[in-house]
Amino acid sequence: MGTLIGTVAQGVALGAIYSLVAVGFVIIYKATGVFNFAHGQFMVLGAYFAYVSISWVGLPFAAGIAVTLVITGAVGLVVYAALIRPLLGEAIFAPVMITIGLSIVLDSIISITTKGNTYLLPTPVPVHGVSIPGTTTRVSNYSLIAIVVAAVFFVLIASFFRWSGTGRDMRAAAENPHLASYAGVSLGFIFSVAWALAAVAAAIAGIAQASSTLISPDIGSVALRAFPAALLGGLDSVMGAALGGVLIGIIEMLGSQYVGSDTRDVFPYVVLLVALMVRPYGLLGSRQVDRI
Amino acid sequence: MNRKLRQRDLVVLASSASLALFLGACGGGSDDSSNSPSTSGTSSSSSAASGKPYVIAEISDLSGPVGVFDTPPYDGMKAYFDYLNSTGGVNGRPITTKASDAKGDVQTTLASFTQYSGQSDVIAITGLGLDTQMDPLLPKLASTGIAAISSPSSTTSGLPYNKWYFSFGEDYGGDVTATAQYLSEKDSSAKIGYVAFDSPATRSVASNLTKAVAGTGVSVVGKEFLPPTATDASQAISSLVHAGATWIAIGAATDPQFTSILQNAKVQNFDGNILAIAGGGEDSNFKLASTDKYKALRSFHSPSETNLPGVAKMVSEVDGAKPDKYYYSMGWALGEVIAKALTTCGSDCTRAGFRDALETTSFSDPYGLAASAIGFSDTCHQGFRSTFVYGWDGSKPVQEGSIDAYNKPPCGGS
Repeated sequence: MGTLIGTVAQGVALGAIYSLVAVGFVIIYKATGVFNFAHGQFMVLGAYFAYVSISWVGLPFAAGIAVTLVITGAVGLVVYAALIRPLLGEAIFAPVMITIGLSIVLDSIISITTKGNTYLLPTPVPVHGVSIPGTTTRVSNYSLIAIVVAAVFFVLIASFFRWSGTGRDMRAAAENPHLASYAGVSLGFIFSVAWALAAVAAAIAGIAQASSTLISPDIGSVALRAFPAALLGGLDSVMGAALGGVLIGIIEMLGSQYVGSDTRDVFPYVVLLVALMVRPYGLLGSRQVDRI
Repeated sequence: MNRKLRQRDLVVLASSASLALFLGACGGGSDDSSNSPSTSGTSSSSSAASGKPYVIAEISDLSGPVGVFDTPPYDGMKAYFDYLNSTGGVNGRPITTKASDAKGDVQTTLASFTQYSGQSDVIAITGLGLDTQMDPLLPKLASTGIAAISSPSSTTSGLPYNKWYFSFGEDYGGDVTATAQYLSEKDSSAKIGYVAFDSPATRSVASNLTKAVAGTGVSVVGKEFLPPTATDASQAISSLVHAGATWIAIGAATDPQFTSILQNAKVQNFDGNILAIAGGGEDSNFKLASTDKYKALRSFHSPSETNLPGVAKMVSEVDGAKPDKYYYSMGWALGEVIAKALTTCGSDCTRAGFRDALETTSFSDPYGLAASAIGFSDTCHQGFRSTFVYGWDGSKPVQEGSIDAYNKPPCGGS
């Protein structure tokens, strides 16, 4: 029983990062109907920006992270303005293909710029962790911080959508963009905010992931594991992303513990296939999602 | 209805693309033209040697999860050729290289091999760092009459002798021997928890290690294999610690996995020792571990060991770059081997002549980079026979000894 609880705890920690990645997919999809396949590269960019800000520029950790989020958010804005906005109204495949192409371009830029070098992100917290009560399993401080950060982020983002004017406009635009537009909502602004928010979420996930491993181009592969999380939770549901991420994390860890660590790649995609067949709109997603 | 169909179409499209990208990330296949071989020669420094170049073709994973292992040997080999070319080359001819990034993909490897073996100027193939890439090529080497020299690792199916296959890499069989020998001497009751990225070779090492330590008091209490794309090792390390491991043996791991393994060993308050069998002997790995309980096998000296005259000489002859990986030294030594074999082979060297020269040439290690003599024979194609063991002295890795891991008949010993 202790092993089960410990494994679930590790799954929640892993799922917190998946949730942060998944919510980026959801925010962009919800607003613009586009799947952003370059989301993993935003994660990598965020992690490298954090390293540069803290280690090279010499900013304090918190300031470095803040600067990183601003820069990565700005990258999201630029990507939207330069690549996605001109394609609004075109066939849905066009912007999707653009994001696939963008992922390859960003991969190459990151590879050329960093020469494949990996770095340790200097963190103010020691790696040592705490025991999970009732088990012999320990979870690292970084994992605990990732859980807390994810929880705070989701509270903030949910509050933003529920109570802020821009958040309400985004929900209105997602519900019926034409009607929202007639009511004075600036769709261009809404879409820009969505891309910036998603990029910020990716950067947070990238920093969280890099803290427990390394800053390397490989950390972007987490996005490919988080996509099933977004789908499971519901592609248009922010809280679904949180739920889906945690569930995928737990399922992956349970599979790893009880079936074999070599099988952990399999489980997120088994869930994806099952979700596609049984509930394609996800656990908390709405049945009808329309592109705007 | 239309809306639902559109949504489903989007989901299916996205899922398909996601799966395709995921498989791509796993090295599941790519015909990308960017993988096609390209020439990267010794243009800037080949003025001293101006004849028709000898061409060596490299096929290896220069990017992706194992790019960190495969790139330094290639860089070291190229750097040696650059240095050599600047001093006159071999038989008045420069040595140049062509490289194809296989990205861990077998099909790309085979396509690059077909292309290179069809180019008459290519005299030998190097790289081929994964056994999954080397094994399908073994039968093709004889049929095309071209020698392949693998680094930084080898395939056991090509050793100790295959006429056209030469190893200048860490032989997994040797890794097993070295690990078993080291642990039985160091801790006769060691309980090994083995962790590595998942590959036939690492599974083979784990299986053979279990057999090798049987009856010695040392035992293997757990084995964990991580998908190559996974970056988190928390569950794997937790399982090994709970299985009672007193030694965590890292078979092979990508950089993020390696970091995660070390960090999670700390998280689990692991009080035992860690032994990096393959790929964990770089200075950066030791700095990350920062404990005298971390040991690593290192087949060649690191360029950072400039207190050693040979290493200092190598570093002084490198043009521009600041190497810091011991696999770079391996590549430099391989460059020496190739150059000397070409010298023996002569100015009109053929592929078959080069193969023969690899067997008949008496090689030396003028820079003193390896733990023992290097070279091949007509019964043994493992290019080096020993490995160093390194520990941590509080500020830097230090050599603690060496093991004749590969020094068994027919490669020597008794």
